[in-house]
Amino acid sequence: MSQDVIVNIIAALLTLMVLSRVAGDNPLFRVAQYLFVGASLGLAFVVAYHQVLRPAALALLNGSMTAVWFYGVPLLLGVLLLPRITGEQRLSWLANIPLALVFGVGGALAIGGAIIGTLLPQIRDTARPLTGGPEHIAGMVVLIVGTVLTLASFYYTATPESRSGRIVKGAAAVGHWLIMVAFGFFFAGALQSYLSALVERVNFVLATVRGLFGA
Amino acid sequence: MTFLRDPKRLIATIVAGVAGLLVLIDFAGPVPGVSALAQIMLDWAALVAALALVIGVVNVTGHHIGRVARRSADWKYSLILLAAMVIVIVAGTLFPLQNPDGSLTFPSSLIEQPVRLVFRAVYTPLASSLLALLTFFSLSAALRAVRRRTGDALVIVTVALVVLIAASLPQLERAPVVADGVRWLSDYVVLAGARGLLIGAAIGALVAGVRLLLGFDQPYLDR
Repeated sequence: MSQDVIVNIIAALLTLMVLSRVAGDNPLFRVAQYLFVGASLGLAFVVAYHQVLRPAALALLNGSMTAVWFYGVPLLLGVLLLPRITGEQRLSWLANIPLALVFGVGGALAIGGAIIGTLLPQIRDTARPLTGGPEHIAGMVVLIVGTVLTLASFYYTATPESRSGRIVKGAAAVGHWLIMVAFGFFFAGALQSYLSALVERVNFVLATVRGLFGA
Repeated sequence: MTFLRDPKRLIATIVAGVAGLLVLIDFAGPVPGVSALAQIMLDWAALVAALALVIGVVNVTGHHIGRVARRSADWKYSLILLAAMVIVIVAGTLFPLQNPDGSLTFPSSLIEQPVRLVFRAVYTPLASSLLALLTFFSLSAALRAVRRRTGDALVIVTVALVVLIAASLPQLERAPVVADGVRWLSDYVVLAGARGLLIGAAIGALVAGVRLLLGFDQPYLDR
């Protein structure tokens, strides 16, 4: 039996084990579930090893000052994370420092990404000039007004008794339904992806079974 | 601001603020000295995050070894998890590979044969089957939502149903009003909702980032 056939049989068996969940929770599905988590953890380690840890260790072994600065300091910071997972919590505060670095850089990337990656392009695209046919112009008006109404549903600090508060509340109600319509579209898109995956899996199992019996 | 009186917390807050500020200034435009420092901060953060992931893996391993050792409920599943993890790690890092000259070497990248084999035989089928399984869970969730008869659920399910019918019936492409109507709805009405959500989420991320850099939120501190 060739390697490909064995791989296909294992893959088909695992597929059936996962799909057996349709009949309810069962040991076969749970085996597949734990197998998936184990394999994912292993892969995460292997990715970290090949992409970050191994190059860092090799560079450190060269012994140059630059390597110590670039890789030695973060490795030392990484060691400071260890007290967080030990039972002894007296030194747990040491892990605050490397985590603060990761969160600080992450926060800055989130700010930069939100402004450059989302806010500016989305606002620029919404504020396009009204040109083209009547249905396009009507669509652009709906798009601009709809975006503002949707944003109004995220506005929580208006006083409900004030005039502006009542306007925001009304706008937020319309925005809420726009979000629900968008969710309906997203749900349909997600369902189509899941269905495609299901069809692909069923076809794969059938092809494997046919291959085994020479049909 | 009690952390100002606690040096252990103050150091972490300063590290987060300074590292974040350097990266943020670099975002605004290239400043010679700052750009190099920002790049160092990014590299350090990536390495620390990778180490945090490894420590996380060690923690999960320790937890499951404990479950197996204590023979806790479902300890056999923990054994499966540990075995799968060890096999993948060995295949990806320690599996001996033969060079063309006959000498042996360890895998040097993710594209080596043992990891690819594990990926093809185990990871890909499990991941795509779990995705496929979501078909049934989504449909069952939709049914339960419709049974509750809330306005939100009815709108979501009705719109999803219309979109799915329009997508699955190619004959509708020949009925211009229906096809164009669904397309118009998708291009403008749905985009308005999606864009509002995106902008709202981006403003949320922006505010959360600013609060973190200024030290109002400190998720990195221990309790």
